[in-house]
This record gives sequence, structure tokens and C-alpha cells, in this order.
Amino acid sequence: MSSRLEVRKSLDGREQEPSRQARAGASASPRFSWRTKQRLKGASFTWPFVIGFAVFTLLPMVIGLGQSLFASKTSGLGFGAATVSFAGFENFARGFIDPVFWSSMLRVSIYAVVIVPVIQLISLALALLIDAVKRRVANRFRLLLLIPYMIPGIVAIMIWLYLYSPVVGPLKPFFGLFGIHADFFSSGMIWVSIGNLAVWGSIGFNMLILFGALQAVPREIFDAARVDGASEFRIAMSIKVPYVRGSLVLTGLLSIIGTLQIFNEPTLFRSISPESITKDFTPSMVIYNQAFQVGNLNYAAALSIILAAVVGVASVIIYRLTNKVES
Amino acid sequence: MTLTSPPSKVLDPKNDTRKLELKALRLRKRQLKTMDNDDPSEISGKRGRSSWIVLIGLVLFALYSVGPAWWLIVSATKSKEDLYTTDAMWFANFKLFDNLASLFTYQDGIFGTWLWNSLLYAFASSIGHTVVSMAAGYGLAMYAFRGKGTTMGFIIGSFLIPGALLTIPSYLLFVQIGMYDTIWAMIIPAFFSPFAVYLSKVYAEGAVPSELLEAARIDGAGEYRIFFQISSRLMTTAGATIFLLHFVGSWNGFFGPLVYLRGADKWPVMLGLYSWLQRGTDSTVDLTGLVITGSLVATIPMVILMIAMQRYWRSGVAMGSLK
Amino acid sequence: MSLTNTKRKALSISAAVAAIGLLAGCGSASAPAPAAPAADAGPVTIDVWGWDAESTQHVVDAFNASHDKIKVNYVLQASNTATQTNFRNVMESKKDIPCWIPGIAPISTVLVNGWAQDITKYIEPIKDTYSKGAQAAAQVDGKYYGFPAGPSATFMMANKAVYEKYGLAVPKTWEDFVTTGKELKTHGVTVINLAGEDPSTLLQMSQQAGANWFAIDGDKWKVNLQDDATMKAVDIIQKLVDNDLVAHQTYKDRPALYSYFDSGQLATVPLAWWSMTGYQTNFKASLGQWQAVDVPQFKDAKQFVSSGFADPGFVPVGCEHPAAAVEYINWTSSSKDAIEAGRNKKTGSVGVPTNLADVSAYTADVVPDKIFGAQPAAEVGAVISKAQNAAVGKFERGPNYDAWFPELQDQWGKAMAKQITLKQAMANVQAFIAKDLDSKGIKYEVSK
Repeated sequence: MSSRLEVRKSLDGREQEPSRQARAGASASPRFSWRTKQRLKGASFTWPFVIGFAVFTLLPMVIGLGQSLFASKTSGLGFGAATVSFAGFENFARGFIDPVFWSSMLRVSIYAVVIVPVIQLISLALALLIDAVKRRVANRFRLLLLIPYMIPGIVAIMIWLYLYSPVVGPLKPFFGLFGIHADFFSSGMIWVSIGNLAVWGSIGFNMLILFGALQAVPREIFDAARVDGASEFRIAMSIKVPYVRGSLVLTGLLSIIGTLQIFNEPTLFRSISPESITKDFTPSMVIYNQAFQVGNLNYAAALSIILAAVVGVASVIIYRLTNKVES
Repeated sequence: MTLTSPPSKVLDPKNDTRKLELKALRLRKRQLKTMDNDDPSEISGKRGRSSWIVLIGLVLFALYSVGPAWWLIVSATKSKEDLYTTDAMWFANFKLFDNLASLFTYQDGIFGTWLWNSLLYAFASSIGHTVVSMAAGYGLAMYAFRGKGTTMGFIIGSFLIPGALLTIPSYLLFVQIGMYDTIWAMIIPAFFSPFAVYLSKVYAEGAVPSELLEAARIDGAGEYRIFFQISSRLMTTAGATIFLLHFVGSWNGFFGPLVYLRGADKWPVMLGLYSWLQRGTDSTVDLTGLVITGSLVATIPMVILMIAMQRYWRSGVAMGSLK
Repeated sequence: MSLTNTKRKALSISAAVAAIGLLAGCGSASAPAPAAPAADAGPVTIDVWGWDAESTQHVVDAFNASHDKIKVNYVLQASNTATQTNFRNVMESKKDIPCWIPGIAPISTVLVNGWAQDITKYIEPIKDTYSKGAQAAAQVDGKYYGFPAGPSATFMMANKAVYEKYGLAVPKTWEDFVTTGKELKTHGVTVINLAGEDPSTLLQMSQQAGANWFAIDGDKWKVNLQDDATMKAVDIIQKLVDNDLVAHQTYKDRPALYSYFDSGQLATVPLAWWSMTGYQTNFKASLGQWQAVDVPQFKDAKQFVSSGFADPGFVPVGCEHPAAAVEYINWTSSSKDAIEAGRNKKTGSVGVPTNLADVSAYTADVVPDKIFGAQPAAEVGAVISKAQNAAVGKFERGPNYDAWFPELQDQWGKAMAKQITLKQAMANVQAFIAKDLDSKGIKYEVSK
């Protein structure tokens, strides 16, 4: 048994081979063979989770799904009670041809396609850098790099808003030193400003994950390569990177899922650059607007299901693609 | 031993299980030791220029990561007049203690209550979360049973569920079962996280050797006993990681509390800060200043926690690969 | 990005989603039910919601001490928007419905969502305590669905030092405002700030000009966002924007906003009484240079009119003791004891009870001491009282305000960035409203 954390290739658990005696005993067929009992007990480890998951995730999901199948309409002045009627897939049909929704989807996809690789690359670079220094040095740096992770989202946004401010923030004069005129709130820079927030917040933690995967690489390979005269950089590129590909894919997928649903940052930056960031800027914002401002919860529920489907399809496609590349 | 019952205890079960426990502990120690001792740079020969580049790169990234936090620290020491008018990245008149005093006395000292709530929710939910996830992951890793594939499918699939879909239905559900506006709404639903189960499963597959289980079974230990006394010892890294991840997530979250809690005395600290931020400038006290100082105070426990639990994430968080 | 982050993001999406302001509901609520007769035997306990963390609890305590038949329980909410979220959820679940919600939305919105009870019969006996504007603001179609609510009327703060430096008089009409603005521009000073995300100046000027964007005509709405009055306001604003006479500081970058206001590069700030202390706290260089003046009028206005609209508080459908609720609110709004109990313990200041018919007794007290320099507090107080008395009060925002306001924000942002004209923006918003009302099945007619 390796003394390191082995990266397991199979998702299946391992069957326990019953001892010969037990097998012999089992053939006498009691009502519950002890093997079944064992499996049952094994399954029982998962029951608390399964029950909780069913109650707190599946059940609300079903309710939400139900909401998407109805529609409500008022009449006259709109002051009376609304009539709720079964609408079948009307909400979905409307969602599939909704130009506002799909343009927001396109926008956010482009953003994701750009920012996720950037985040992955930077996180990878960080992990490689950390891997390349002595342990004590690495420890100190690691802690510093994790500070963004420890700072909660709203605080992070507040801090960066201040830093970006063209009047009081220090970044404008800082870049001015290099002769760069940076206005983080202008419509041209707004995606950069939002992207920077995402990068800052996630590279520390992603680095941890990738670093963990790096640890699984057998050290002997490095030594052999070094003996052969390969530079550290070469080693990093040709050996370390391919080894962590699996983790890269996983974190990349999770990043994409999160990015496609981005809401907080554009909402906040909307007030700052209102001519570029409208209320329907990202799919999540569209859903929010429909649910809580236009007041059409049913349509919003349908849209969120469509969003989930798109995210799912995107994940599968990307997963397949990266797998193909690998093999 | 009869023909119809599992191999029963001929030898003293307690003693044997104890032996296995010790064996597991020794295995664990060996694992940790090799992780700690591992240092690639000591094996190699010359380092030279490449290490300078590496160092500079790390320093730049560290500055990038820490810079905004530094702003937070500096700003928390400033009075509200200085906050917007003095140099952002360096101190002015040192007023940290005044700010702290304002922070803890504003609104009848509610900030202290909020801190306590955060601690309670994070701790209670993380413990339950860890236990449930570890058990579930262990079960999925070590056993084959009907419905296992389905469960795994649900787990992976649930990564895709957008939170937006679940908000209002969850709220309705909580009201129905009487959990709304209680501390239980903050604690119990948090026990069930597919991601933690996945993490735990991957770890269990790697860290718990089936031979050990088999040996324990032959010695007559039951499955639950094996888990609690043996396997869990081998999974402490995963357990600590899961605990830590969830603790930080719970501490930093404000969404759940916003929707599922009502009275201000039950709020965790992030929700409290969010409410102050939303309220903007109050008439007598500049809430922005309080939010800044409060953010700093609220972040410090996280820093302490991360430092205290370093050894569990020092070697990175092993997540396995999706195959 | 870890899943924790992802889940965090996903959750905080829906979090912020739910959190930041849910007003329009999908109608699962019933029509406003007739209120139960006011015969409440024995002490009655009612829940009252609010987001004020400073004085309301003291007022509630004073009420409880002096009323043995009614006991009020104050439930503090995180913020205005949190109140909206939580209230919406409570109405969905139909459990523990409170008996009073302060103004979270225009009254028509509240009515459309089926949230407000008809409390006309409780208001009729006490209505004259309150100003005509306050009364109008609480009514829809002649019935009281909210409690008379006074607007916080608009007046102006002019940087006297700047005006005097360039030998200019503070303008009294909007047309003069444009002319003065052009003068100031030659010295590098902007005359007013129009934040890109906040169209409220447009609404207020339209209200001042006498615009009526929505009106009830029988069983349908009359909609017109492009009437002559509105176009007067649009015209002035367009001139200001075209000639670059305005600044576009955003409220989100508050430090920058204050810094700019404080710098002497901004000549005039429209405000209501409750903003004064905040400005004083955050200004440094310009303290003492400001002067309170009346809000500019339109040239052909027949009488002095100030702007300001109120979102009345209401008694939710499902509250079983509306009489008690109305009694509580009436006491807090008009009784001297209540107002005293609401006095801020630290600063000694008391809010201006904007719904009362006569507020002059209170206005001088709320004036902070440094910002207006030599101008006596009594004089500032008189400006505020004049504005309050002349406030139009009601500005009907229709049955789908929460749907069209974000659209107006978007269009306004584009107009401020000079991508479209403000006139075009209004046409776009009107088209949006028409589409939205259609999809909701609400009857309307675009009038001219």
C-alpha cells in the first residue's frame, strides 16, 4: 500500500472476498446471507446522507420543477387575485426562444471561456511554483496565498471596489506610474475588473487542489529526470503538468459551472457602469429579474432549469473533449 | 463457529481489534511522516537561477493576494474622516481601538452576538457535516450494494444544480417542517453535501486498504466497529479537510441566514455585516467604517483556523480525478 | 475554483437573488380581504417589522408601556431589501404574518401583490392629522391601502462658496439652472450630479412638472411616460447632459462620491432632510460652505412645488388585528410621547415626522451644526418645512413598478452615457411597460 494518497482510477468500490469458510457457510442459505448483511450495513453508512439529500435537495428541486409548469395571470387593474393555471411546457417554450436570456448566456459563456483557463493556468503556475521551493518557504507562501480564500465574498467585493475607485483607490496612481491609464469602471474594462475579482478569489484554493494532485506524482521520476539533466522548468512542463491533468479538468469544470452562474459581481458593478451592465446581463440576473422584479416565478423556475441543463451539457462536452485529448 | 453464522469470535475480539487499531495508527503515522519529510529540492543538486525566478514569482503572487487584505487592515485602523481622505495603503492616525469599541457597542453590542452565532452554526454544522459525509463516502468506497451507482450519479449530477432553483422551495419546506427562523435551519441542512461525500469517497478508496478491513472482519469486528475504530483513523486527513472547508464556507456565508432566519439576534456575523453595508451611512455612526473593522475582526478566526489546521492542507487537498 | 466556491457562488447568486429586493410577486395571494371588526377583547399582540436599528425599539417600548390593550413586538430586519425578501416569503407560507410593514414599495405594487388590507375605515377618523400629500400617497382608487405617508421632500444644498467665487446667483428655475451650469462649466465646476444608475432625479422633476405616468380609469390603467410634463423635465436634463454640465458619480463608489461633493467641484446637491447628517459626517473641506435653498421650479409653474414621493407602510392581508396596528402607527406618527421616545440617545436628534400636516416644529432640530456654516438652523428648517408643505406627495408608479424600474435604470444609464437620448429612453421604457402588462393580463391604454 503506497504511503501517499493514491489517485484511484475506478469509481467502483472493491468487493470483499469472503473467506472460504464463510462461503461454505453461505451455501447453507439462511434468509439473509451474511454477505447481504454486510452490503446492507455498508449501504447504511450512506443512509443519513441519502435521506438528508432527498429532503433538502431533491424535494425542493421537485417543488421548483413543479413551479415551472404553471403560469399566473391577473386581469383588469391587476389588483385582484391572480389565477394560477397549468401551463405545461409553455414557460420552457418561451425560455427557449427568449433573446434576452440567450444573449446573456452567450455573454457569460464567452466570459467563462476566457476566465476559466486563465484561472486554471494561474493556479497551475502557482502550484508548480510552490512545488519548486523548499518546504518551509512553501509553507509561508501558501498561507499568504490562501488569504483571499479566507476573505468572504462581500468583503472582497467591498475591498476591490475601493481599490478600483478612480478617485480614492490606489490602483489608478499605481498603474499611472507605468504610464498605463487604467479606469476599472469604464465599460471597456468592466470585464477585466470582474475577472480580476474572480481570479484573486480563487487561485489560492485551486492551487491547493492542484498541489495536492502534484503530491501524488512519484518522486523517483523527478530524480531520474534531474539526473538526466532536465531543467526544473522542463520537468514541470513535461512531467508535473500531465500528471495533474485530471485535477485540472475537475477544477476547471467546477469553475465553469460557477462562472456560468455568475451573479454577485455583475450586479454590483451594474451601478458603476450602468450603460454596459444591464439588469439582464447574465443568465442568473435574468432569472433573478424575472422572479423578483417582473414577478414571474414560474418563468424564472423554467429558466433556471434551462440554465442547469445548459451547464450540464457544457460540462459533459468539456469533459468528453478533455478526455479525448488525453487519450 | 457454526456453518450458518459469520465467523465468530474464537479469539478475544476486543484485543484483536485493538491490535488492528494500532496497526492502522502506525500506518497513518507513516503516511504523515513521509508527507512531511518529502522535499524534492533536497534531493536535487544545484538550484541556480531558476529558483530566483520562482521566488520572485511567488513574491509577486503573494503581494497580489495579500494586498487587498492589507488595505483592510490599514483601513480598520483609520477614523471615518481619514478613511476616504488619506493614502489608501498606509496608516494615518491610529484609531483601531476606537473603531473596535464602536464596533462592539453599536446597536447594543450585537456584533458580539453575531460572532457567537457564527461560531455556533459553523461548528455544529461542520461536525455533523463531517460525520455524515465521511460515513457516506466510506460506504460508497468500501462496499458494493444496489443503488450505489444511482447514488454516485445523483452526487455528480447535483454539482450542476443551480442554487437559484432551490431558494424559495427550500424556504417553503423549512416553514412546513417548522425549521424556519430557528438555529436548526443553519445546522441540519448543512449536514448533506454531495461534494464532501465525493471527497470522502475518493480519499477512502485511497487510504483504507481492503486487507485491513478483511483482517478485521476475520477477527470478528462488525462493520460499524471497523468504521469507528479503524477506518476513521485512516481518514482523518479527509475528515479534517472536509471539516475545514465547511467551517470556512459556513462562516463566510450569508445567503442561507438571510433567507432562513429573521430575528437579528440569530444572525451570523456575515449577515450582520451585509445588513450594515446595505444600510450605508447611518446618521451618527458611519457604518462603512464599522463594516471594515467588523470584516477584519470576522476574518481573523478564519486565519487562526487555517493556521491551526495547516497540516491537513499543507500537502494540498487531494481530490482525485474524475474518471 | 473549488466546489465550495462554486456552491458558494451558486448559493450567493440565489442569495443575492432572493436578498436584494423582491417586490413583484407572482400572484398566489388572495385579494385584499375585508378587515375584521375592531372589537378586540383582551390584550392583543402584534408583530411589527422594520429595519431601523436605532430608535424604533424605544418607541415600541414606550408604546407598550402606555397601552395595556395592545402589545407590540418589534422584529428587526437586516435592511429594507431584507424586509422585502422576508415579507414575500412570509406571505407565501401564510404563517406568522406581521401586522405592519413600513414602506417597502409603492402602494400600487403592494396592492397588486395582494399584500395590503383595505384600512379605510380605520383611517377616516384620524386622517386630518396628516397632510393632504400624505393622505393621497396612501390611497389607491379612493381607498386607503396604506397609512398616510409623507414624502421626504426635496430641497437643495448649494455650495455658496463656489457660487460667490464666480459671482453667480443660486438659480431659482430649472432653465436658469442650465444657464448657470454653463457658466460654472467654464470654471471646471459641475452644477449637479446625476448618477448613472439612479434615475430618481428624472422622476422627481417629472413629478414637479405635473406628470402622471399612470392613472386609473375605471378598470384599466392609462399609461403615458411621454406626456408634456415629462418632456419638460426630459428637456432640461438632456440640456444638462448634452453640454456636459453634470457629474456622473455613482452611489456605489461612495468614498469617491463624497470626495467629489466635498471638493468644491460640485455646485448643487438635491437632498431630503435625512441626508444632511450623512453629508456632514463625510465632508471635510467644504463644511460650512453649504447653504440650504429651495429646489428650482419650472419657469411657467403656477405655484411653488417640491418633489418627493412616499411609499406608505401597510397592514398586510392576514393580519388579524388591523385596528391595533393602525392605532400603533397613528400613535407613533402623531403623539408627542412617541416622537420623544424616538429621540436619538446619542445625538439628541429626532426625525422629521413627514406625514404630519405641519412639521415646522421639528425641522430646525434635525439640522446638523457644521455643514451650513453661517446659515442659522431656523432658516434651514424653514426651507425644509416649505418643501414638505409643497410636496406633491403622490406619484403613481403603476401595477408593475418593479418590472419597469430596472428597465428605466438601464435606459437612463445609456442616456447618461450619451448612447441614446433621454426621449428615446422614455419611449423604450414605455414599450417595455406595455409588453409587461400584456404578459400579465392587465388592462391598460396608452394615452397622450
